[in-house]
Amino acid sequence: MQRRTTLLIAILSGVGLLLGAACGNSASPSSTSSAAAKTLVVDDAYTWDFSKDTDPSRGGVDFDADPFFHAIYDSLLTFKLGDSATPIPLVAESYTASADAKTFTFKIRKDVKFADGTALNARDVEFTYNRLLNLHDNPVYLLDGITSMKATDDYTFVLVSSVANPAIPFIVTNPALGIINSKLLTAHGGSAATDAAKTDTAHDFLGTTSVGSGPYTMASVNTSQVVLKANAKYWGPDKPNFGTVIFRNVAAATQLIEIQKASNQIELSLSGDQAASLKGNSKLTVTSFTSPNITFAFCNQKTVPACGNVHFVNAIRYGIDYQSLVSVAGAGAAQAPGVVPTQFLGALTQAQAVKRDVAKAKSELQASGIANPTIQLDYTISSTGLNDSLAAKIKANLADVGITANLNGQPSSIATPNYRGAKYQLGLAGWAPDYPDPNDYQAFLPGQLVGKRAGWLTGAAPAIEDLGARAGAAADNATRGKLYQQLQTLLNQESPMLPLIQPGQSVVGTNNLTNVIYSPVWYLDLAAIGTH
Amino acid sequence: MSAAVINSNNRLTTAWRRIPGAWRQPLTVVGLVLAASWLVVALLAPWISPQDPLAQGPALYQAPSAAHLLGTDELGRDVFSRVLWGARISIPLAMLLVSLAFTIGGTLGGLAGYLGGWVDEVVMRGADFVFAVPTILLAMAVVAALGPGLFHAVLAVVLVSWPGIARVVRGLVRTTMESEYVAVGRLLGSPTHRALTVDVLPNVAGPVIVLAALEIGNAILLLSALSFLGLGARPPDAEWGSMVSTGAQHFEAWWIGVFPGVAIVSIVLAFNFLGDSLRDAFDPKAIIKARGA
Amino acid sequence: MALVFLCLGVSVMAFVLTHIVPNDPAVANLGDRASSDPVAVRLYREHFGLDKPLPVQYVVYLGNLLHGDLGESEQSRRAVRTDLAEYIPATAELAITSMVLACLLGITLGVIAALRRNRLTDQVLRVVSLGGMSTPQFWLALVALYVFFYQLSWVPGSGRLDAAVLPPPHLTGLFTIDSLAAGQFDVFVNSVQHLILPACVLAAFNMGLFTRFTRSAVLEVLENDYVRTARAKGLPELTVVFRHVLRAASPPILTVVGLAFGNVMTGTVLVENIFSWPGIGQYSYRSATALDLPAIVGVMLFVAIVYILVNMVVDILYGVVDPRIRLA
Repeated sequence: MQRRTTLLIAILSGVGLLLGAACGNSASPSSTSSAAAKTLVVDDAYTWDFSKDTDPSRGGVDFDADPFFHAIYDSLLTFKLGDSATPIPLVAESYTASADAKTFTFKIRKDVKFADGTALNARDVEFTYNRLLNLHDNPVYLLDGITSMKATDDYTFVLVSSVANPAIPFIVTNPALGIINSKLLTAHGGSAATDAAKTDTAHDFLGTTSVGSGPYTMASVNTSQVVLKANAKYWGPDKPNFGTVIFRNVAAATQLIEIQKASNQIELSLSGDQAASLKGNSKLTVTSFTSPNITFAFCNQKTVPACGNVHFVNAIRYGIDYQSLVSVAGAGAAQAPGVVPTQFLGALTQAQAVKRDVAKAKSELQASGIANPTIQLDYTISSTGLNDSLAAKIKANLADVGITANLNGQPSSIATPNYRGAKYQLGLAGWAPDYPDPNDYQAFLPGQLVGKRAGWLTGAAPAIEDLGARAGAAADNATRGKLYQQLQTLLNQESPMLPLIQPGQSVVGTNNLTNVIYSPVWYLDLAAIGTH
Repeated sequence: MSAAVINSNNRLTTAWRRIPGAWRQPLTVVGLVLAASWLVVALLAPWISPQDPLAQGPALYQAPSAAHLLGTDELGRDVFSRVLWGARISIPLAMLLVSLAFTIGGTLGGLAGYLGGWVDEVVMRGADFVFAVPTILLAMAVVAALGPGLFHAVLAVVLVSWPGIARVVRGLVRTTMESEYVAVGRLLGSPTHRALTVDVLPNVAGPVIVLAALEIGNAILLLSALSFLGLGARPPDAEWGSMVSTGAQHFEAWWIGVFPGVAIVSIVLAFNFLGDSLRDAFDPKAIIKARGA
Repeated sequence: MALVFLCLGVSVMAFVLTHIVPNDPAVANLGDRASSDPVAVRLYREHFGLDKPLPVQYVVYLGNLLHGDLGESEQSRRAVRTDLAEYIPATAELAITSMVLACLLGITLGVIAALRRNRLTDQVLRVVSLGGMSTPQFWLALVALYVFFYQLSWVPGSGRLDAAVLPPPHLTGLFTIDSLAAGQFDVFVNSVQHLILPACVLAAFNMGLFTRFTRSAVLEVLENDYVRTARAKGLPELTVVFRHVLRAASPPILTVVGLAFGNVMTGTVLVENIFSWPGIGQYSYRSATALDLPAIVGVMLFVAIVYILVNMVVDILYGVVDPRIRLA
């Protein structure tokens, strides 16, 4: 008994110490029960912790995190509500591009204030861009090819690219490039120096405070929700409509139930079917649209030599019943006519899309000389179950042609490294735009990011690679559009890439809300949302 | 001396004699009938299910009707057929799992109880350790590491369920070994293997059978939970847990998720009815203590 | 001693488990483009010490553990200790409520079943309790949500509070207690409304378990002479049950209650995921599926410590309720 008690006390005090130390670190939520102004609730079936993402230079370019980065941080340029084709001024009042599309000069507004009242100038822009580059975290690719980022005076910022890159005005709208208050962040461990990856210690600070000039500021964050408060000192002409915005992490099934009892609420993660089931509810507005994300399949030559056989790939290409895939992908879903989504410059039209032709598929299979092929269909199990449904359809489609596809759906932790490590056979994957410009889709070419995952290496298709290089460097939009269309027509004939669909996406909001409009860059502009 | 022998054997025989009494209980019969029906379904699913469980029909989200007894799911598959085929996955796997767990747990527990000393110490410390880590955490970690799939889920559950069995078997072996009649047998010079087969085994077998019935129910629950979390069965397999998980995405079509759940409840309940009745017939305490977690 | 053994065991096991995975956490956790960027991958591996040989990683981990440092979560990029401190109160509130419910109901029903042995009441309670033990918690949670929230609107939906209700000032992290301490009665009511459904779902299994074990423990005691004596003395039935029977039957019941904390943990993983309850159940599920080693070990250690603690308290309570053990 004596010994037991001693041990117990020892353990108790051990746990106490552990927890005591931990509690010291955790931020205690503040209590202001009386909400002074209206509260907007946005639910998203978020894949992970909000807390990871509160540093835009690390957590940016995450689809789920972008809406609140966009609300907290202002970037150089932005888009008009509902548009993603013409960048317009925000922190930069104007910009000029050199004729060779290599040098971009941004004139910074003089009246922009951070939430703490500090005035924003070009030094902050320089700090933000250099920090993102030197942290070398997820969003670093936004600055690929950039050789110089300098504030030439207090209100001028110049970006220089080593290659012609007409996509830069589109890239700088990204919420990951929202301007950071450099004085405030430097005072709390922030660094933009070349060794920032190791010396920057601002992560914990950014977990409790936001340092932007946007219409909202971050009040608190934990795994289940981010609370935003209106920025009382917001410099822009349109003040935020809500005193508080709560961005919650809620499973889709629960969202479906909750929205029917709510007001001032938006659900982002409902599948097409779920959203369709709400159409009859007069208190809700269901908006369905075609997602700019494309779902594509690819035949990996590295794991399946037959994928190098164009007839075999074509047997798959013409064997897939694209309309049957569209039918399970929700309201608003459409076939992806090429790798570039229909919303962007250079996209193919639906008339140019590949159509199912079982007879042609069978003759192509015969021409390939491969009898009774069996291939594994690899994919990530998605939370909405969409990939499972698509894979099941593809399996049934290919069976009609005489190709056996074995489904191999895995959770993301297993599937993602396999996909990225080019270990898929017949892969089913998705691509969300990094910025709304066809240059983002160079990734699908031989030797590029997605190309390599299909074992499609540099030199594999010289004609396609040459056309891709010309499309990427062209400066004027008419030429670029034409070249990208040619490129995709070629891809649809000779590449291992099989664009399938652009899924339907639905935003469901209570019908007292206005401006609940989807954006391919930041998903939802929280600051624009108002009430009737 | 002879009185002691009679006494000890008495307890065992009384227990066995009580079993027919247990059958007279209505719930035991219900359990037996349910369990037997599910076994039959598992065996005959290919012949009795109206449709291919993977066949996608044109009618999506159909409510239960004469054409589709339990409705259709989001791909137009017949829910009734899928529920029947589900038995072919859950029941054999649960049995495989329980026999693996009993082989490992029984052997280790038996050795620990029979040999005692450091073997006992090592096995029981190992069991304590697994006990302290919650089942599902360990199972999730194993499955996450090995990759999902039903077989890995089975391995994971075996890994977490052997200690319970080892404890019971060890306890029973110890009690029997310490009882007077085994001591007497030794004194009289009967060989070790005789003590094991004649004295120890029969005393251990009864409670172990009860435990097995209860464990099958638990195994089905845990496997379906792992599948529900996306760590067990993989689509398009008709597995009950993953069917419930699909159903959760489609609340409006409640039949997609409700019926697979009813299937799980009914089969686990059947085994629990059986196990509970049998347990009343045997010594309840030993089993109670081992099965807490 | 047991604790040191446990820490070593849990951490070794988690290390082995997460390292037999052929996949690189850097590639799994970095973004699409960054994962193909060798510099980003190298920085990630250096940051989490993954570039060092496994034994070195383990020694470093143990060294940090001695200082109460559980490392940094690869998912949240915060100290695991900070994460745990944030999620544990939510789970504690849910788990404790469900255990109290399960004990109250289970023990009461168990006593009733024993006193009405083999009568109709006993059979009905047998179905109820075994039913509780046979129902998959994930399914029960969904059905309960559908019926009581969606159809009947008796309870609010997911989460610990309504979206518009702000948490009470942090004291214990248990919203029910904190709100009362701060005098925010409306917050208290809201948190109880949110707590009730998940706690009931979580309690179902243990309620069944406790009913069964209480029943058999009480039956055994009822056969004893002193119970008959007490009854013969003409003591009221309630006095007999509470003063004599329940007390004598409590050691096995206590054992089961102690062991049942394991069930609660399993339940929380499922229930928290469905009710969007921000506790360690949700945290551990996400960590496990993302192979977030420091987080997995952190949760396992914490839960194991709680388990040991609870069972030690049970041992001590043994002495309190059972005079024989106190003498020994």
